[in-house]
Amino acid sequence: MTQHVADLEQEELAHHPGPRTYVAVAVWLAVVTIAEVATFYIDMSPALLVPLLLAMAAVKFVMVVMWFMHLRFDSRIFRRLFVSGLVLALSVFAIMLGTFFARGGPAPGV
Amino acid sequence: MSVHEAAVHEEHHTSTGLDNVKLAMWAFLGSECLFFGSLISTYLLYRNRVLAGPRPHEIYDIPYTSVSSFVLLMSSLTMVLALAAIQRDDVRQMRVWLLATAMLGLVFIGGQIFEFTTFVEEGLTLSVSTFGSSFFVLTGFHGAHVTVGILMLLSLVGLSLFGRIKDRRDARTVEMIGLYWHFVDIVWIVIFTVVYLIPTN
Repeated sequence: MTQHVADLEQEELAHHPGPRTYVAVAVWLAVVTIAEVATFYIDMSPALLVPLLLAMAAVKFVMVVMWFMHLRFDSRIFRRLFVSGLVLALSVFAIMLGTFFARGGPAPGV
Repeated sequence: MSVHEAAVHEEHHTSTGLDNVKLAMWAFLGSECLFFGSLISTYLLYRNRVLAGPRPHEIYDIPYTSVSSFVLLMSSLTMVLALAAIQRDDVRQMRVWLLATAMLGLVFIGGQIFEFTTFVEEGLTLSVSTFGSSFFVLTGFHGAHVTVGILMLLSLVGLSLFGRIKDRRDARTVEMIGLYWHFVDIVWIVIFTVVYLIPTN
């Protein structure tokens, strides 16, 4: 059992990408960040701007999680654990925000 | 098998066949999604509720925040390069990358302190409006997480200097701190877009 787990660990490490891939991912992250900031300065409707910005943030989020945090290469159990927390958070807060805004938003601030 | 190897293998009696520490770290990061999710939602609820003090679009300095976001993003690269180095048994290079990560984290925190100071001078305080409260609580908690991360990175460097991290058998410790650091980075990816870039009403 312990030898089996040690073997699994070595196998897991063997599947991790090398420095060259990490640098390539970082270059893409930089490009998307520049695109994000450039998009912010383009005069466009919020109906288009907001989904665009959210999509680019999602791309960066997924790239870091998949490559730098190795979820793409590690056991699926880790992915399920993290995605469960993420989906739960998104669902709970989407419902909460939806409920508030459907009732006209929160009470006025100070 | 050396005593050290035996001790490492002893830690891995698990029913899943996976390292319990790594499993716990991912469960912790899942729960942190809920923590930051609540703070981001609260900010979204209150950012337009400004009866006193400056409004978000009057106070944010997008070029400045873009640079500090970029610095934090690149710290994820140096962190993963530190992990790659220890997986190759290169402790010296791991130390260099860990110190680079800590330095980039310090630059980010320095930038955040400067930003907070500027905002307070311009009239945005924790108590001036619900926008101010939700902004400072969200970004302040993130900054606290980055600070804890920097302390953990410097602890790793210290451990390696005392010979407690010396080859690939100790890579798991570096990987765990790395997961925490990358999480702090992905939270900022969301904060940068939702708080700074998405326009308010």
